[in-house]
Amino acid sequence: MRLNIIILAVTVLLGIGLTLWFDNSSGSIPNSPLPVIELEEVNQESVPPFSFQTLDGKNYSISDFKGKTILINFWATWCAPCVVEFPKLIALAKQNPDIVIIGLSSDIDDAKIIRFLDKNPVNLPNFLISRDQKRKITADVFQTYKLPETVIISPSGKIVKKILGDTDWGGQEMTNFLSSLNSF
Amino acid sequence: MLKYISLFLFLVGFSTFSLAQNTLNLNEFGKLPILHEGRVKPLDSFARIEILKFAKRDNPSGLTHLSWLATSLFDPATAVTQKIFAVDNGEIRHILGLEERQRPLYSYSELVSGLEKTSKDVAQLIAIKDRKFTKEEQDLLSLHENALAYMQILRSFSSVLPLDIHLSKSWRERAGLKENEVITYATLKKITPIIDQKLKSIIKSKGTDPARYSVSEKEIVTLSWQIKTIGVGGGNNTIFRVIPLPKKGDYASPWELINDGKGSPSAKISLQKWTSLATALQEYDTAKWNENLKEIQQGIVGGDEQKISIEIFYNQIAPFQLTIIFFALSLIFALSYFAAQNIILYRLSFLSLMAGLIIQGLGLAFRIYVMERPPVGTLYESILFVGLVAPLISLFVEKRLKNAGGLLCGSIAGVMLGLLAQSMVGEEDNMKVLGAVLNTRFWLTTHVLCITIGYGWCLLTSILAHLILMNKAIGKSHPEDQSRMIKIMTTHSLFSLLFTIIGTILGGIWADQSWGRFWGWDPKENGALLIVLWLIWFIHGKIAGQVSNLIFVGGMAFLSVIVAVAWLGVNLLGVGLHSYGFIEGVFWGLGGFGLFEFLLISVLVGLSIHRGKSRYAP
Repeated sequence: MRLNIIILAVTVLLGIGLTLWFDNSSGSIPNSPLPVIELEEVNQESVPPFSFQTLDGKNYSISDFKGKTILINFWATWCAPCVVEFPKLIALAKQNPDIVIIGLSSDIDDAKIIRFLDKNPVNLPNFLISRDQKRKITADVFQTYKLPETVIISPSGKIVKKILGDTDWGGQEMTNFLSSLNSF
Repeated sequence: MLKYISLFLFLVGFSTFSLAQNTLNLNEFGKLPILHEGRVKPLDSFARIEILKFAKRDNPSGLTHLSWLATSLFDPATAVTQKIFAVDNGEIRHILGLEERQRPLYSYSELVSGLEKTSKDVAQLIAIKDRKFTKEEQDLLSLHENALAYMQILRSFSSVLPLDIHLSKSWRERAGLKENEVITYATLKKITPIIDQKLKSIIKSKGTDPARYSVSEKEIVTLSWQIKTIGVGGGNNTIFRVIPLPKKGDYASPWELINDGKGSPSAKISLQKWTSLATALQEYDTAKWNENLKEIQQGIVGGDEQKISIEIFYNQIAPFQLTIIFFALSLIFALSYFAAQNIILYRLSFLSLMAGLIIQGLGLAFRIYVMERPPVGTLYESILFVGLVAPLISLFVEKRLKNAGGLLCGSIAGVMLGLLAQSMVGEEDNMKVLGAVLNTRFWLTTHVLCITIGYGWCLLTSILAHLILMNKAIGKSHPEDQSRMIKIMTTHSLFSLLFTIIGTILGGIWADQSWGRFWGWDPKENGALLIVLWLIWFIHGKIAGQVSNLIFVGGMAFLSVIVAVAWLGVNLLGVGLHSYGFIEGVFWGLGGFGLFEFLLISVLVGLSIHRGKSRYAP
C-alpha cells in the first residue's frame, strides 16, 4: 500500500512538473501593445552592392546613401498600381528629406518615363528616378517580378521590410515605422 | 491538361540519365530542410512520405526515396518514366486502360492518357456536395490527387531549370542572356512586359489570325504562349519550400519567389545554388554536387539542424517497428519460461521487454523533441504512447508476481499495440502540426496524457484478467496464487479508474475553456464515461459483495473492448468533435475484436465455472 502511495505521488508530481515545463516553454504571447507596423523576427540581410544611372545621367551606387533610410521602389509607367502609388511617394519624399527614394522603372525606354514625369513632376533631390535596363537590379538582384514592390533599407544598410503592392506611404503607421528606423 | 504536360516535358529538355545513387551523396541531400505541411523537416522525411503516398511502399522498383526525389526535381523527363504509382484496384486499371502486371506499378507517362480520359468524371464527382464515394470512385479521386501532387514536385524547379526554347539574338539581348547562357522561365519573365506590349500591338494591328503574322511576330506570339503555359503550370506550386527566407524558420518554393513576391537578394543566391545542384546531378559532377550541398546548408540559418539530424536518425532506425520485434521476443521467452521454467529464459524475456521499453521511450522522446509538443496529438500517437505505458506498468505487476506473468502481460500489450500502431500509421506524415484547438501544450500534457495513461492501465488490467481466467480455466495455478493475482489486478483496476476519471474531468475543463461547456454528450466524452462507469460498476460490485470474483475478473477482461470502443470506436461514428472519419477497415477490425473477446471471455468463464463445480463434485 505504501509503495502504491509513493507511485501515485511520484506520478502526480511528474505530471505537475511536465505541465509547468511545457507551459513555460510554450512561448506565450506577451500582453504588451503591438508596434504600429510589426518588425518581423528576421535575419536581416545587407543590401547587395549595385549601381544605377538616373534619367539625368548621374551615376550612383547604393553605398552612396549609407547612413540614410532608403526606399527602393520597383515600378513602371504601364503598371496601374504603380501609377496610383507614385504621388504618395512624392509626398513622402517631400515630408522626409532625410529619406532617399530610388524609383527603379521596368519601362523599355526612357521616353515613356519622361512623359510620365512631365505629368507627375518630382524635382526632389531625395527622389531619384532610374530605368532599370534589362531589369538587372529588379529581377537579377532583388528577384522582383510583380510591380509595384518596395524594399526599405535601414541607415545601417539592412533590408528591414519588403512591401508588395501599392501602400499608404502617408499613413501614421508608416510614418512611425520609418521614424523608428533611425535607431537601427 | 495533357497538352500542358506534354509541352512541359518537351520544354524541359534534359538528356536522359540514370541516377547512380552511390556516386552522389544523397544522404547529405536528404539532410536539407524543407517547410512542408506546416513544419520544417528533412528532405529525407519529405521523400519518404511522398513516395509512400504514390507507391504505397518505400522502395518501388528498387528505387530509393532520395534518388527518386532528386530525379523528379532535377530530371523530370526521366522521372515520368519511373514506375512509382501503385494502382491496386483492378477496376481502376481497366478504366485507365493500363496493362496488367504482377506488381501494379505504373509510371506517370503511362497514367497520363487515362487520367486525361477520366478528368471529366472526376470533375463531376467533386462537384456533387456531400456525396458518398464508392471504393472505385475514392481510388480514382485519390489517383488524380496523387498525380497532381506529383506534377507539383516535377515542376518545383521548372522556373529555373533550362528550357529547350529558341530565342532570336535580339530577344536574347533583351533578356540580358550571354551567348551560351541557358534560357529559363525566370529569364523569360524579365522580358514579359516587352512581349506583352508587342503582342498587344500585333493583335491591335493584325487581329488574332496567326496566318497574317510575320516570322518575327509569330516568334513573339509563340514566346508569349510558352511563357504563359509554363507560368500556369507553376502557379500555386508551393510544395517544395526549400529556399530560406529572411524570417526565421520560413521557406519559399522557387515558384513563390516569382509569383508571390517572396524573392530577395539572399533567396536569389540560394536558388542559384539549387540550380547548380541540378546541373551537378545532370553532369554526374560529384564534387560540384557536394560543394553545392555544403553551400546550401551553410546558407540556412534556422537552428533546425539538430532536429533534422534527429529526425533522419528516427527515420532510419524506425523505432516503433523495432520495438515490436523486442516485445515479440519477450513474449516468446516468457511463454518458453512457462514451459521450461528456465531462469535464463525469464531473464531474456525481461531484457527484451526492457529493450523494447527503452526504444519505445526513445522513439517518443525523439518525437517530442521534433514536434515540440507532447506525443499524444493524434490517434496514432496515442497508440504509441499507450504502447509505452502498458508494458511499463507490467513491470510493477511483475515485481509483485515474480513468475513472468507481468512480463507476459507487458509483452502481449507491446506487440498488440505495436501492430495496431503500424496499421494506423497511414501514408501521410505522422508528425503532423496540430490544429489550433488541439495544439495547447498544457491540455495535451494534462488531459490527453492522463486519459491515455488510463487507457494503458486499463489494457494491462484487462490482459492480467485474461491471464487469471486462463489459469482458472485450465486449473493449473494454485488458489492462493489466483487470489494474489486478483488482488494485484484489483489494485491496477483502481489505478485505471483514477487516471480515466481524472482524465475525463480534465477533458471537461478543457472543453469548457475551448467550447464553452463542460459536457456536451460528445461520443468521445461518452466513451470516456463508459470506461469510468464500467470500472465503478465492477469495483463497487466486488466491494459490496454483489459480484463474484469470477464475474469481476471477466468484467475486467472485457475492459479491453470497452477501451477499444471508447478510444478507437467512437471516432468512426462520423459525428462529434473527435470524429476522424469512418474507416471501414477499423470498423470491421474493432467489430471482430469485440466478438472475439466476448466469445473468448465467455468460454474462459464457462470453463472456470465448470472446473469449479467439478472440483467440489462428490
